[in-house]
Parts: sequence; structure tokens; C-alpha cells
Amino acid sequence: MPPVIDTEKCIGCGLCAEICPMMVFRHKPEESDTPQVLYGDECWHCNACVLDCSQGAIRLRLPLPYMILNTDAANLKG
Amino acid sequence: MPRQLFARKVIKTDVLVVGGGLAGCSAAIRAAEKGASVLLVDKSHVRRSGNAATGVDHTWCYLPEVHDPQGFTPEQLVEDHIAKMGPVQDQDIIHAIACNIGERIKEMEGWGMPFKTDGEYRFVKKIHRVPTFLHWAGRDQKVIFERQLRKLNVETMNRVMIFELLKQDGRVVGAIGVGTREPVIYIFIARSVVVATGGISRMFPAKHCMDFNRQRYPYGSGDGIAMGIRAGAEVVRMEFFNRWTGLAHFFKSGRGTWIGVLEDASGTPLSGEAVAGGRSKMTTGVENHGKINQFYREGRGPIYMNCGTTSDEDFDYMCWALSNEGNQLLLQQARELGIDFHHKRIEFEAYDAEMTGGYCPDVSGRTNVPGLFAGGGEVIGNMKRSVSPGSFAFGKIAGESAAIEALGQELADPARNSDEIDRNVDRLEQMLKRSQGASWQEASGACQNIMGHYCCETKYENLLVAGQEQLARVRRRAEHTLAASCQHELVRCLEALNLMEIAEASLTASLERKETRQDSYDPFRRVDYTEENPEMRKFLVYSKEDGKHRLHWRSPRTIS
Repeated sequence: MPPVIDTEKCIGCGLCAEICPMMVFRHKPEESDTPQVLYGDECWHCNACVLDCSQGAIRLRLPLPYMILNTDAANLKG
Repeated sequence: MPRQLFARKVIKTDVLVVGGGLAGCSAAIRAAEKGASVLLVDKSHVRRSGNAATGVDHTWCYLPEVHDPQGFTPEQLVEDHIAKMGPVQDQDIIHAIACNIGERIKEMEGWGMPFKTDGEYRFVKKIHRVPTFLHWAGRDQKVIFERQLRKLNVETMNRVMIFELLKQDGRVVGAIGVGTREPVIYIFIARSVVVATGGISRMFPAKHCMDFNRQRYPYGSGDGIAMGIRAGAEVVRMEFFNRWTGLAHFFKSGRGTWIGVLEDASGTPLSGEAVAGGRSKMTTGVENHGKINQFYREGRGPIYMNCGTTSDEDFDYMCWALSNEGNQLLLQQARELGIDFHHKRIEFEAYDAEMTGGYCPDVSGRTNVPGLFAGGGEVIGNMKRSVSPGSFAFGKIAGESAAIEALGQELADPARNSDEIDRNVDRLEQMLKRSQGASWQEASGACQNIMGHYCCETKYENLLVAGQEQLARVRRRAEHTLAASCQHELVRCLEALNLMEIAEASLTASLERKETRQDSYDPFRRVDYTEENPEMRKFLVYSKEDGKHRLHWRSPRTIS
């Protein structure tokens, strides 16, 4: 699930759930202070939750199929 | 009688704006400035919704103080854009954007949009011959729009999906929406309506099996276009699709400015424009998608972006630009994984197909359906491939037109639409009540498979007819079997049905365009009609009336 919330840092304000363009989160304060990542496979990785979290409590985990293929530029020049 | 699943609310406004991206915000703000009461309804949340969620780093722009001293006129910019993007575009709309965008930039600067970098406007040549792309730190432009909406007291309703327009006597008088989280049906009654729901994503199968791994905002399911078709609106270019090219595997990061050389596996640069060596020749890769696919087929892949010869200054510039085009995660991942783009080659590939069709309103944003206006990414002629200027400028134009229109209109009585509203509510309730049935993923996957299989790279009559039949079967079945366990799934079901509406238009228009054309931005291949037909260098206008398809050809409008 792409967004990962650090429950130690999260203050339960729910802004990530409120503003996520994709409805990835659900926040029910009566159930849990920290929002749940309910639809992680619908994440667009836009980073809005990371940018807007006042506590820096969210990071995005890039799923395996999204891994970047890279090779050393210098080695391939010759 | 079983208990009703939905609460119902009727809301009245002068101007209803559907969609809160750059165009919707621009329309709503302008309509409010003109004195109309405005309600902006967003399926998501206006702070970060739309394709510009966390940034767009450039906007096509004619700025008199920059372009006049260099001898460029708005007409030259339009001509340049047409030369690059192909002749089948409404020049009057592009001209209106060119003539309005400068003033718009100044106005938005007043709201705090940082269009200047280091005290100056940074213009670059990107895909045009004239330096038309204003590069700027657009990361938080949606946040600034949200602030401006608040400042003007524009009423905004988030997390409501509008899925059907309401008409009386041939005129759009409102719309029906449903809460994406709460079980509420909203009946909106308005004197005029602006649709600004953006482009169409998730129409074709995802290339790497992850449905939301898309270059374009995956929440954009063409809702405005689909409900417009059902309301009798004319749409164009439904037969075309395009592909973006960019970073392999992580398609969100295909957007942005890369300064480097695209080369094959052995390090041989791809020919022509693929070689980008400096700030004046930025490569987004879009021009190379055909070539990239060809090189892969010929055994020369993987294709790489090599930034090894990019100067330090250009490289820093590239990273700045990427971070402002919503690619903060890409840069962060690269840092965490120790991938130094400056000394590594990274793979590029052609992405899944994307629809490019949409509304074809007049130069004021007025569609063929009275009371209905369109602005933003779903408008064709609205700066194909570069929609932010269209959204800023043409969104504003559509908002102003809708506000003026609203002055002379009475609010409709929703009682006249009660049968239609009841039918729609019942349809949604059925989906929520079915304990077993088809999921939204099945519906959306079935539609994507049909488009990928019958209506993509290879088209011919038998294939397209079979696609139409299959789509009709799937759609009928979906209508009667779709099941949703919550509002979230209900919204996804409605999106899948909207995608099917658009697929039907695409198959039908593809059948009518009996030609093959090789334009770099409008490739269209019919196996049974292999030549280009000059008579078809026109818009193919599609609409629906009483469930029947209507098609006609129209020449693009020139500058009036």
C-alpha cells in the first residue's frame, strides 16, 4: 500500500484523507486517530498527502512494478 | 416499502461548475467575479484534484512584454502550434487563449502564483519553434486556487460526483450528483452549467497491469464528456488516441522536463529531434513514441534517457522542473535508492494509449446544448497536449459566458425531472443492494479490453463492428449486474459506465473515419483504408439522439 503513515508522528488531523485526490484514505476519528490506507492500489503517487502533512508523517512506498531501470552511463559509452 | 438508501438534497445556484481542476476553478472564480452565485462541485477535493494535483511546470503563453520585443505575435504562436499539432484544431479557440493568457498570468500572479523564477519569466522552446513555454514553479497552484476560491466566497462542495445532467425543453437546467463517501443524492438546479472534468484516463488497458499507474490523473474518467453525450452534446476526435513517452514503469513520472539524450542500448542516440542537448531543446519524449516502439521491435531496446552530457546547470534546472511537475516522489526515490540521474541512464518507454477526444464548443465555451458550457482538458482545440493554458484562459472564458447566460434564465423546477431523478436513484440503489454481482473492476477491465482489442493500433470494419457488439453486450450486463458495497465502489461503477459511453463513441467514430493518417500527433490506422483521405482532414462530430448515433464532418474554425 503506497502511503505509509508514521503513527508516532501522526496527530490525527485527517487532512491527508480530506485532500487525497484519489480517495486512498479513510479517516474515522471514532475508530482510530490515524487515517487508514484503505485503497492503496488506487494511489497515483502524486505526493499530495506527503506535501500537505504538517507533521511529515507520511511517506510513499513505491510498489515493485514501478521500480526504475537504470544502468551506469559511463560504462556504456565505450 | 424498503427504506431509501439515500438522503436527497436539492441545491440551487446560478452557475454550477462540474470539476475543480484548473479549468473548473478558473471558471468558478470568473463567474463569481461577474456577480453570479456559483457552486463548484468536485469529485475529489479542490485543493489537490485534477491533473495538476501536485504541479505543472509550464504553461503555453503569449506574454506581450516578452514576445513583442522579439517580434512574435499571438497569430504566429497559433500558427506554430497548428504546424506542430496538426491542422484539425479550432484556431479561434487557440487564438482566444493566446490573446487572454498573458492577462491571466498577471492576474494569477496577483494571487501569489510564482510565474517568475529568480525575478524573470523563464520561456523555453519545448515542442514549438517559438519559445512559448513559460516554465514556473507550479507545484502548489491548486493550493493557491483553493485560497482564491475561499477569498471570493465561492461555494465549493468536495467529494460529490456529478454523473448526469438534467434537461428541460432541450436545455440543461442542472445535474444529479452522489456523495463519494456519504449516501446522499444531490439535485443541482442551475441557470447554467460548466463542465470541466478534464481528460479521459483508464480508457485502455494499463500497460503494466496496474490500473492506476497512468501518466494522466486516473480519477479522470471522462465524466463530463460521457454525461454530455447523454445530454446530446457534440464531441469530436473520439476516434483518436495517443501515447505519451517517458520514464519506464513509473508512468506518473513520464511528465516533466528531461534534458538529455535518448539513445538505444548500445549508446547510439536516436535520430533527429530525439537528441536534446540543452535548455533550448528539452525532451519530454512525446515526439519519439513511435520511434521508441520501433526501436524496441527492431531489437535496439531498451531505450534510455542519458543525462550524462547535460551540464550541471541544466541538470539542476531539470530537477527543479521535475519537482514542479508532480515528480517529487521520483526525485526522492532516486535519492533513497542512490540512483543519480546525472550519471545513470534510465529506461524510457511508450505508455498505454490515451483518448484525446472531447467537446468542441464555440469560442465562448458554449456547447451545442443550450445552458451547457465546457472548459479545460475535455475541450478540443484547447491546446492539445498542453492543457494548462487552456484551463487558465478558456476555463475563465467559459465561466464568464456561463455567468452572462445565467442572468437571463429562470431556475427550473426539479419536479419536472422527478421521474428521471427517481430512475437514477433507483439504479444506484440497485447497485448498492446487490450482494453478489459484477465489480467495478470487472466493468472497467471489460471496457478497457474491448478498446485495447478492437479499437487501438489496428482498426478495420469487422473488428470495429465486433467491438461495438461486444461493448453493447457488456454494457447491458453491467447495468443489470454491477454491485457496489460502499459509496467508493459506487463511484467507480459510475466511472466504468461513463468509460463505456465514451468507448461506444470511439468505436462508432473509428468506423466512420475510413482512412489512414500518419500525423505524428494524430496517428490513425485502418487496415481496410490504407490511404489518407483529404476530405477527412476535418473534425468528425459525434453525438447521440434518442440512443442513436449521429455523425457529421466539420471543418476546423479559423481565426475570426
